[in-house]
Amino acid sequence: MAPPFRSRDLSAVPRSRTRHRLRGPHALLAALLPVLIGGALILAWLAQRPAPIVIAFASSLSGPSAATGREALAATRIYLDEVNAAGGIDGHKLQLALFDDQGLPPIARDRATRAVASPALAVLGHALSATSNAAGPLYREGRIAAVTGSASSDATTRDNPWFFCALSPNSQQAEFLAEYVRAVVLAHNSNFMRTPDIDFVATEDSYGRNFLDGYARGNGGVAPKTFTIRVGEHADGGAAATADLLAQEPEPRIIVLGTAPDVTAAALKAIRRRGIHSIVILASRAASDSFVEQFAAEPEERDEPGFFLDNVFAIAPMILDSTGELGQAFAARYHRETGARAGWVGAAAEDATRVVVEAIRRAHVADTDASRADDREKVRAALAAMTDPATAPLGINGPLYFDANRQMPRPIRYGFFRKDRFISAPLQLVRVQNPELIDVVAEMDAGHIVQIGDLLYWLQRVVYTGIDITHLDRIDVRNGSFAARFFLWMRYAGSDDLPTQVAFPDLDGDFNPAHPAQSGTEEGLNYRLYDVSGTFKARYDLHDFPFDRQSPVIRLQNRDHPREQVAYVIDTFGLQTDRTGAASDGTASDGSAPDGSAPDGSADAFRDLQLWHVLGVQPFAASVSIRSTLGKPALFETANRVEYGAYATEIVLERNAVAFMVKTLIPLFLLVLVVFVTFFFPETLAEERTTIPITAILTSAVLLISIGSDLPGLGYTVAVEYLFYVFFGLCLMAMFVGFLTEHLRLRAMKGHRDVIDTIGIVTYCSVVAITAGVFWWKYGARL
Amino acid sequence: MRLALAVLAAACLLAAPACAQTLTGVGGTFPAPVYAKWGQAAKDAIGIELTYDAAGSGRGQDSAMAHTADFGASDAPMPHDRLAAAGLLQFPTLIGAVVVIVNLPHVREGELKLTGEELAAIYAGKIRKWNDPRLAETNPGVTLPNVSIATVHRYEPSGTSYAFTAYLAAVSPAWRTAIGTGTQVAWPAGAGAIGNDGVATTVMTTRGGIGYVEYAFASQNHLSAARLRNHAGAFVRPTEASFAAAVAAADWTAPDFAADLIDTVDPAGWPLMAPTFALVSRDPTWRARTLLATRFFDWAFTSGGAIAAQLAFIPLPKPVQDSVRAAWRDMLGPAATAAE
Repeated sequence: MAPPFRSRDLSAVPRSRTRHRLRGPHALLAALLPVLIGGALILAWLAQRPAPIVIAFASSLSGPSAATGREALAATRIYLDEVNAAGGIDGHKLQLALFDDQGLPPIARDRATRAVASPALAVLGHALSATSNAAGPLYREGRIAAVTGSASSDATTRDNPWFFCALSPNSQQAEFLAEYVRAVVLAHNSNFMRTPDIDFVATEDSYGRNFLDGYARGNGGVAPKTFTIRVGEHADGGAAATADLLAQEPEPRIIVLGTAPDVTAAALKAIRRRGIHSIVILASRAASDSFVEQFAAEPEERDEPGFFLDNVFAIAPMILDSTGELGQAFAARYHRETGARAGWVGAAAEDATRVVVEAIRRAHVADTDASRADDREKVRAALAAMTDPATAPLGINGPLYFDANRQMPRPIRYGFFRKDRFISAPLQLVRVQNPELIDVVAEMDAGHIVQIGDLLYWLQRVVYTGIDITHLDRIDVRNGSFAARFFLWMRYAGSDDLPTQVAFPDLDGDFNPAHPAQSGTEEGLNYRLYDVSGTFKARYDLHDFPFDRQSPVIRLQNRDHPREQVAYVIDTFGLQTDRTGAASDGTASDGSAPDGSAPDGSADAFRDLQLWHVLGVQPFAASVSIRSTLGKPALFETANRVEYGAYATEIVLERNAVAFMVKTLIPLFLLVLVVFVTFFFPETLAEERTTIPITAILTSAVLLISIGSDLPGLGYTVAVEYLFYVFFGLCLMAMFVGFLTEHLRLRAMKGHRDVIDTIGIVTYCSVVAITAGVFWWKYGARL
Repeated sequence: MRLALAVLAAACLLAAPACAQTLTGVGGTFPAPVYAKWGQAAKDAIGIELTYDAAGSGRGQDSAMAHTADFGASDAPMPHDRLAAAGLLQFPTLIGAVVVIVNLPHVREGELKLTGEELAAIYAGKIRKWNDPRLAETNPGVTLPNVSIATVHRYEPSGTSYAFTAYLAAVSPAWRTAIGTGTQVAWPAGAGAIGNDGVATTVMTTRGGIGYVEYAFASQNHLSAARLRNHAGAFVRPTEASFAAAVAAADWTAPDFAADLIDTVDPAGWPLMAPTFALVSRDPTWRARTLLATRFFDWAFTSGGAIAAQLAFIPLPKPVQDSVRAAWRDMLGPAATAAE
């Protein structure tokens, strides 16, 4: 083959000496021009950008209730960040204006006045009933809508069309508690060989009265035997005196504390110190980590963990370990952003924020100084119009809609304390939403539905579930699968094995739930253990290959019974997530993200994964939604969804990129060097300057095909392919530089040729360095 | 007319089950399950239908003295002077055992061992934690939890309490001196629960709970019972064999049949046994009612043993039954056992 160029001595050709340079002010102007143009564009963009919409956040950010306010604030910020990241509302970003009421009614009134005077279109808050009740009239007078996610006093929204509550009010919580005690606690506890009495303890304030009234309503109109605690400066003394009276009462009994939040801990301490070990049920405010912290320093608790909180139950608007997808996602986000576990206060705050944001969106506000009063009115009207579950925004706790009292009555959850955590109780009540669509009589006969008054409830079984992986190998990226062996266990209440009717949708093989490896009872619950092994399908994301992280998931779901009947929650204690921390387990009951460490004792399980690092194993409760009419005519005009309880364990893996590169990419690195060397070839090797890059392209193409053969057919480019593409470009550039320098040499333009060579070398090195830098920036932490 | 009445009476005698006579009893909860079964069987067998109100031993004694029932039932023997003053005859009907139930996480059924002194110290509030060194010493190899002991006793006067406190008084001088024996005592600590079922419910819903109930109740509800150290120093389980051994070792010649079955000397015997008693009137005015009662129990002695055993009670030994029948005949003549 003839060489593309022939060498020719053109050194005699004179070099052009004409150079045109910009000098002095012209050069300065030329340099500044782009800056000026850019600045003008930025200013124009800023001027055109819609002003942010302000939402007031008035809560207890300091003082004794600061934990509640701060949790709500964190949740609110997380949600608003998401809304803003998605573009805000009609281009308006959302901004919070903070007002700290310190948990004190007089301060709350002052902060409410300031919030009214601010540009805010709505108020989120307050955290407490007392502060909400104090601020409420000012919002009404100032004509700005307020939505609280945690204050549940019946009086908060009464006669105040500007105040909304994203919770069930106290009395309805108490009513539901009474119904739960009747329908579940007393009816489904095999330990109750004699029906226990109810001893009700209430504070002598509106909270206690509301709670007692509600409890009596739910108890068939019969008020339980009641003991009162006078609130005020001597709450501890009052609690102790009440405990003395309680000690005179016979067992068995259940003590219900319908006490104001600031008295509940004192009352419980007095009861336990009086030697009363009875079952105690608390109102919702106690269902939080901050409540648990109030006992940690007590000498009895230090000496005997659980001294105060053993046998203590509480109601809560929601418990995140048994919420659906939105709840799990919220818990994960909250943990990721704050490092703490979210409770119902944070979740309810997010729901309240969701409601306010949706109201602002539906109000189509102008958001100007002149339109503020009108905008506030529109937002209030939008909130007031959220009364239909079909059109309500979907929140963690289901559709978010108000009743005629601007509250959100709904079934509450029932949980108990174990160590420092508040977790769902084994049986819950879930309101039947569409009784006309089910065979109520058959379901009642089967014990799946209970009737309380006029209402029907699913008896939802909470299944404490755990998956411990005993062996994981063969991460087959090409075929989208992995092989695993693991123990699956479930603990649940009830007389049948309905919760074990699960399937692994990704398992390539059989799983028979009717044949557990072990079965029996543990702590009064049914216990089933399975030893499962097989190949599971997985979807791998290879965009970052070979620096990729993969998260194969072992997923199970109930085959036949919707989530209203069976909900799977993480067995926090069985998985020892309290011991290994929030790391490997994803904070267990709240489904948060892993922080990158493998669980204790997992090394053996993953020993066969030579090319992978195990970053963590994260269990999470989940659900699978299916939108279907199920072929029922009654559903043809609806958006019927069936949600099935599910549970998953995600294994977070990171490919050992160093090993991959050593094995696979060393030839490419060598080719990079070889092509680079061609820039320094003497004139006698001008031909090789073009042939070597061509050969390098062909060689690397074969290498690329070889790497690609380990991957499945993909519709996108993976990271390692970009390396090759860059290399192809470098080769082409080297060829081009070779051609050009040869051409210049033939025209005796040595000086130009040297410049081109230098540019080629600099460009080559720069591209290699930039490519390495980009990859290091993006993936360096994984090496 | 006379003829008609005579025919009717004869018909009733011949077809007794069809014309059942009602016998009323009031008393302890201890024998109530057996009395209920005996009542059903006796109605068919001898035409006596028993209506029994398990209102407690105290009420049983009161009812017998006030003649508001045909017989009173008491799990605690009534003192001789009170029997004499009230004109009552006392006799045993059944023997039951009292067991100690516990709710201890991770301690298996029958694994826990207790001495009488430890039990007394627990109920006196002197041993407050399950991991107390004294309990640990008695239970080598058992991991006792760091959990407070929640004692549960009977809230109302009860023969079961009588038997239990009698046992504590027998084995613990401190208990005998400070608290004593009775159907209701001044409990130094713990919670009071109503009935065997109340005690069991309270114990089973309280981590670290301990209580005492009749064996029959514990057995039927599969409650976890502790082993107790008996007079001979052996830790025995509550079983029919250990009950029988204790009954065989008792002295039944005590006045008013008030045999002491607490901590008997048999090396295999269960130390917490108690007979339950019936109280009938010696007053001739009430002779007909008393006769009905003795006929009922005569039938029960003869034919109700299997029912009692089925319910985890121990029938009276045959010699004791014979002694009781002799006492009836002394008081009522041969008609006392006419149903036989």
